Amino acid sequence: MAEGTGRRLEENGKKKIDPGSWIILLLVVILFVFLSATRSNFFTFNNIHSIIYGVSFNFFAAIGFTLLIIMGELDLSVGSLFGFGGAMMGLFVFSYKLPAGVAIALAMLVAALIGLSAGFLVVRFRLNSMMVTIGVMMTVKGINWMLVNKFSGRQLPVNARSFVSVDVFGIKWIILVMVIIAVVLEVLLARSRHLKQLYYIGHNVDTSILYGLNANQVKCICFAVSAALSAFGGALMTARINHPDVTVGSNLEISIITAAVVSGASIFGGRGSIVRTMLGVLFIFTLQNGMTSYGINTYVQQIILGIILILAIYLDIRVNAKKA
Amino acid sequence: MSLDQSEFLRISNISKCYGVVKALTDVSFCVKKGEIHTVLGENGAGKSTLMKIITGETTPDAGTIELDGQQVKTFSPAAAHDMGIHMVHQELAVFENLTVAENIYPYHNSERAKKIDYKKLYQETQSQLELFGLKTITPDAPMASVTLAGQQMVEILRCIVAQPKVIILDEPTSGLNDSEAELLMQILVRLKNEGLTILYISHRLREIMQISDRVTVLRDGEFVTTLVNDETLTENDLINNMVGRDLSQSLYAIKTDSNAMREEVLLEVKNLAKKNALCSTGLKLHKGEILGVFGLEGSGTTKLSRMMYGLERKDSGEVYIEGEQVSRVNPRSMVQRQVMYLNNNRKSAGLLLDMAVTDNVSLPIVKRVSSRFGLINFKQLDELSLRFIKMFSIALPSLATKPRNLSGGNQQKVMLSACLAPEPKILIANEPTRGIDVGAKAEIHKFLLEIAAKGVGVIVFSSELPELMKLSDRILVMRNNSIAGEVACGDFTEQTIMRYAAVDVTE
Amino acid sequence: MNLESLRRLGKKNELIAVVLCLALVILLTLRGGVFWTGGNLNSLQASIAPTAIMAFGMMLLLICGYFDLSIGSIMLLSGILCGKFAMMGLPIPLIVLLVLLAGLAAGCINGFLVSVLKINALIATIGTQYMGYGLAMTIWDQIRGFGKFSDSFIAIGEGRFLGLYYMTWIALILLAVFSYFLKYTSAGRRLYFVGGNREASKLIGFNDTRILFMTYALTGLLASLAGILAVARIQSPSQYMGDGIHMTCMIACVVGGGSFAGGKGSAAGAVFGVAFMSLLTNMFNLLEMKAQLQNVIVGLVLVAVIVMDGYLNLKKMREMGKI
Repeated sequence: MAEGTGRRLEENGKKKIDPGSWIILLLVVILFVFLSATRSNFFTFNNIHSIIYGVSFNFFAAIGFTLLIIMGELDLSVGSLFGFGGAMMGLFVFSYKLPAGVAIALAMLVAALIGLSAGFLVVRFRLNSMMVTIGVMMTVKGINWMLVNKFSGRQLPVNARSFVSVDVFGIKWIILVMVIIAVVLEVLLARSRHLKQLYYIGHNVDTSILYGLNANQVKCICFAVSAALSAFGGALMTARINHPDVTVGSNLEISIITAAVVSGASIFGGRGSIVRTMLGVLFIFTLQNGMTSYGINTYVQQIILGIILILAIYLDIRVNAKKA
Repeated sequence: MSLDQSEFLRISNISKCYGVVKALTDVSFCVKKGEIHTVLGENGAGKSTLMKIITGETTPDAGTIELDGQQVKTFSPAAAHDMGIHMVHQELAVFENLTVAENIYPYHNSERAKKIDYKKLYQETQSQLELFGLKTITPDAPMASVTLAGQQMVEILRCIVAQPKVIILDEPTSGLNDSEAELLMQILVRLKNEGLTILYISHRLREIMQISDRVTVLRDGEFVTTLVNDETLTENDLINNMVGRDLSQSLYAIKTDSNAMREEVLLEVKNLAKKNALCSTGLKLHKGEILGVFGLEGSGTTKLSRMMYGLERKDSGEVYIEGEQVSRVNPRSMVQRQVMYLNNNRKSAGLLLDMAVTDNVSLPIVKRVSSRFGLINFKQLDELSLRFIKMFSIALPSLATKPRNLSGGNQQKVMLSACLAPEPKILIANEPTRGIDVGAKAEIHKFLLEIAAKGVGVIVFSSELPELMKLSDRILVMRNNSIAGEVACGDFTEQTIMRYAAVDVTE
Repeated sequence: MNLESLRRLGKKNELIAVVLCLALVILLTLRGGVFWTGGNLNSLQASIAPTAIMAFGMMLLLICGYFDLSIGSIMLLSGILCGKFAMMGLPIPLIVLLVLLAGLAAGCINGFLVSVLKINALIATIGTQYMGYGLAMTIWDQIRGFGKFSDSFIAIGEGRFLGLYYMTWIALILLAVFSYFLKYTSAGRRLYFVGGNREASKLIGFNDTRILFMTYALTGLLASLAGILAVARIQSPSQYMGDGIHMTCMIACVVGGGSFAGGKGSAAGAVFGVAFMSLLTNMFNLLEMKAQLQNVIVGLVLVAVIVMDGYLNLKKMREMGKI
């Protein structure tokens, strides 16, 4: 089944499910089985629920990232914009006494503008998106630091943070939202002409432009959306931990890019799925949790994650580097 | 003359196929030592493939190459380099960030561990430059500041200072003006007189007549003849050998009447120009007309097609569709005005090789088969794709097959389907039958004639003259980045058209 | 000096960096006597010298058209390894040797990933940066109780010769070495060939893979050298060393005449670029600008530098008719 085609088309006369793309599901299952078997309190509702809860925040940063990676663009600023969302929310709540909802919306708006600027620079000057977004990341990190320092340690008022942990039928609402968004977007990616464009552009941007697609506009919009969604996730996370903090979103881009590539997206574009990325984030997150439960030091975890990233990228190059 | 002299470079029974396309079939000829030997032929005659084999870039399916009595055992660029075969490529391998001297002497003409003596390097470079009469180029000039012609000379010098046995030049004068070309000719003659063997690819008849000792003509991958450039040789002889095909087969029936509606102008281009790429060019396309544009390599045909569609920037020029000027010429606005472009290189643009055929065909019209909110109606989409697949008899296991797994002919048909799916008013086809088998060619020709009969305006840019003579109502011939002439379909002969394309009118 | 040689001078890539440095020095001098004091000049040396040493490596890579984002981690790791080996009681020459070898090894890993496996340089070195940081911090945990280095070790960083720190001398010597290397040796010139047109350099017969690999290895070595000098000066290992230094070096090298497209750059340019960044920081400090704001400005400078460089390259390609 060609990536982006979306429905199970008959190929060679029989229905075909592309096995390679769903390796990530297998990986998640294996990991869960392993941990359930070896760690005594792994397979409990509370534990798994809390893992998925943790994943749901990072998921928002991964959505936009996936949309961009389908087009072959990498947004390395997602981590810093994640933190930015929280820092901005803090600013609006503390300095301007705005209610949480408005604060978050404004934070998303500002983030979207930053994303839009980055996208503009990338398409207008034909720059490498990785490099531009690294620059954006450094700048935004600095801004985050400034903002967080300003409100050093101050806790968000209760009404600005309690909404995060509301349960719906015993499950945090964010998890439900994550699942709904993932499913809806997955369907739309296959069935909506607006989102299908991403695959066209990712497979061959010259062909897309030749047949009239406005690749530049689509990319700019996706950069803006990615930034806004990351900020949203970060704002929620900040509400969860009750106060703006510099560690929110730090190094998140590494986990996200690893999650995306491990789950089947390619830095060359043309491949990617929201559900698979969600599974990828789940995999990485559970792996980290599992390693912690084995007493593996966070820093050693970093080394392991780095190895996984490099391995995944190497495999991506071997499999997907377009034949000249 | 001894055997050495006459068979310095011996090409024997070389054959090469790229899939179904026979690039070279049993080609044999010899190059003498110390001569300038030209290889002449139209686009697709096999010249580039032959050179790739001689320089080791690719391996022949059959046949041998011998240089100075030694047979070529391994085909690789390094091996060819060691044997003394050097080539100046069409896409210059220059280092624009470095000086002229370093481009000529990348090994700095000194031993590995020694300090580079720039003064000596510049002196040596200067003497080389003077030796070849290149007065305007200085050794310490940055390569980026040197003109294209100069860069070409520099690259030739780089080859020469390495003291090769054979030097191969591929269309060295494309992109040069007359005086620059003249200078190059003089340099080549001087080199020849010093004993260098030169293999020269060109279709510029005047130059060929000026400096060649002998000329080998290739046509459609086959060896035609080797002619000696003595007083009796004329340009007509060359043209006749280049083209002289048996055109009696139905595949290449020449069009004799035109039924285009000459009153309605669908597309008009005025004053299209770009520095060093296109001289002020204009053309008109009428309703139901197939306008052919012919030119040999470097004549500007592809640039013209791309600039008129907005795929490349232009310095000046306007495009009018049905009388209205297109304010911003780019693919998006052209597609909106129902003008589609069939690309000449389906691997680089025009196809999505790894997406389903149905996605390829429906790309330009995905809006049409979608609801108001953007949801695609897959049933409609598949019906549309099936329609084209039947129309073109594309051999397809299923709609989900990827173009990468199809033959060249079928890939081309998929691309054509994508271009015709939006039912355009105008189709700009750049090399519509490049690299595909005879059967598929005939089918595509038939289809182009059919849509023209229905009123669609078609511009066909092609380097295959027989194809254009079969399809076109008129043929514009380009040479040297401008239109050299126009031939109407009552007057199509290969000789007439080729003369416009290859011969300098200023003689 | 006639008009022609003035014109030549004007075209030199390093000019921007030199002018910027001069401008900053003038500004700083005008701001009152603090700039030219001994204390300030000392801290300037300490900030410029190690960074310049690392920037040499970055510049060599940039000339080839590549870069290394992990030099900060290598520097950090080196400093911490010094602590670890000192804690183990190893003699100083052995410590230096082992740490330099570690840096070389890190560089070789980078070289292997980028040059041999052909992984995208940005991602590969982000990965090794992340891993390097993790490794460094793991060892950091082990040396928590370490305290200060021995006096003889500190002398590496604090020692002076004719008024300047050893590290300044090392930087100056390396400046001479690399300037000579890049201009007067065939091996050095090859970097420009590889960066200018990698495909063509293959056609000429240069082993671009090996050249690139060795440049990465050298960069790792230089980063660890800088780490040793820096950690010796601050007298005990720090977990914050090298933070953000890859950004500083990138900006320094591009301002100093390099380009992300490759094929350009010089050792002197690297030094002037680093000097510019250090003087800039110096000025921010004298203006009592908060560290966080400085970070934001540096980030913006980075974006500006990336955009300018990209734009200039785009313009050049357009003029040459490539696009």
